[in-house]
Amino acid sequence: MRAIFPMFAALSAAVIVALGVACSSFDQNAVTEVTGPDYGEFSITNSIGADGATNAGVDAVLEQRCASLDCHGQMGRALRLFSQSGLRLISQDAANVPGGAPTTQTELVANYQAVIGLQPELMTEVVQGNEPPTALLLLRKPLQLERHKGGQVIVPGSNAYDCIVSWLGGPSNFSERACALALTSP
Amino acid sequence: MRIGHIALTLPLLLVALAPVAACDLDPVHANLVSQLGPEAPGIPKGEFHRAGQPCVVCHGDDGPASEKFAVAGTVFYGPGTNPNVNGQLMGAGSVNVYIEDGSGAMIPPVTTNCVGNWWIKASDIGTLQFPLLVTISGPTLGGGTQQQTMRTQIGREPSCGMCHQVQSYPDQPGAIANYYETPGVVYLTGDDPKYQGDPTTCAMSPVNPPIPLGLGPVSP
Repeated sequence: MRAIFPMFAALSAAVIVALGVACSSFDQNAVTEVTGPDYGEFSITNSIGADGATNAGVDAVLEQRCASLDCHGQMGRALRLFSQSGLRLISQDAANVPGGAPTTQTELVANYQAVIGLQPELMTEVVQGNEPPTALLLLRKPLQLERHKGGQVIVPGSNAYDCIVSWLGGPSNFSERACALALTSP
Repeated sequence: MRIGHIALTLPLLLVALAPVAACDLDPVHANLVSQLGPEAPGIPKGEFHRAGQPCVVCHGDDGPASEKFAVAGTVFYGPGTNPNVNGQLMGAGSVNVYIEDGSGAMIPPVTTNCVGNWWIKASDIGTLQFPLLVTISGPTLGGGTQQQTMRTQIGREPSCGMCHQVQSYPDQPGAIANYYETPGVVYLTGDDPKYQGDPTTCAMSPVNPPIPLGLGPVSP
């Protein structure tokens, strides 16, 4: 019994020292490079194109499905989404209120950063084709492949699903049409 | 002897723990309830009280209200210049609230009372399947009907008043600025004085309910 105490004390000291070293040795200048999907496709605003078809980007779908004030339209969310009808980015523009002016470019950029910054390393792997899109929380949560308090808000094979998956698959795969249809269908 | 100790200790322990069990052990919920403040003078607990406040904070599973609501809220006429209400908020009565749930089913419509309050009891509907789409439709004093459909779906929040709050400006004293976080309270109409009714027709004054400013949306 007496032999155990010195061993325990030594082990505890070693753990404390290890933690101290680990916590004091991070590289303050380290940067995580993210290869994100195309921003232009993300930020296409909902409009009628020259061919009469409705155009929309990924952000429009996320705004409609995810960005309400009681869900991801909250500042505390890791995936925090600004939108015309929900949370607004503080600005000098008095019209920049919920329900007011259209989503601004600054807000679109902030949304894009939130989306690709949620799992930066994994996002890079997905964009480079090394991991499937469904590896990302961006899809795993709304598909309810893991716990999501908002429940299942995207169904596999739906227009919303095709919109996001095609965007993650690169410019040659992006389906603007699926994004547009996702705004009017379940 | 040991059994005797247990028999003596257990009731004492239960008595000691009873006050703790009676307390709200969730600090987030307790804080939300606390932020709502006391009842307004002259308006007792009941169907007319706390218009505009987030009803299900208290009328939810965590209490303290005994009646549980699945979803509830308040509809107002828009702020106007009617001298009866002096530009203040006024509840909109006889407004129908239509809700489509996540399964696509229409929930039987409910109607606001004269302070604008409406609610659906949990016991009447069971578990509500989110997301919800909401439309309100009600009479105007001009003899017409006004309809408003919420632009976004409701993802999870059962209280309208949790997101739809009196908008407070960043420099408004005594308020947490929520200018960028709320679309304002639920209005039946726009800023038109002809749509504002006579507050004397309601058993309780529907005018200017004391809604706390800057109660931010909270989704634990």
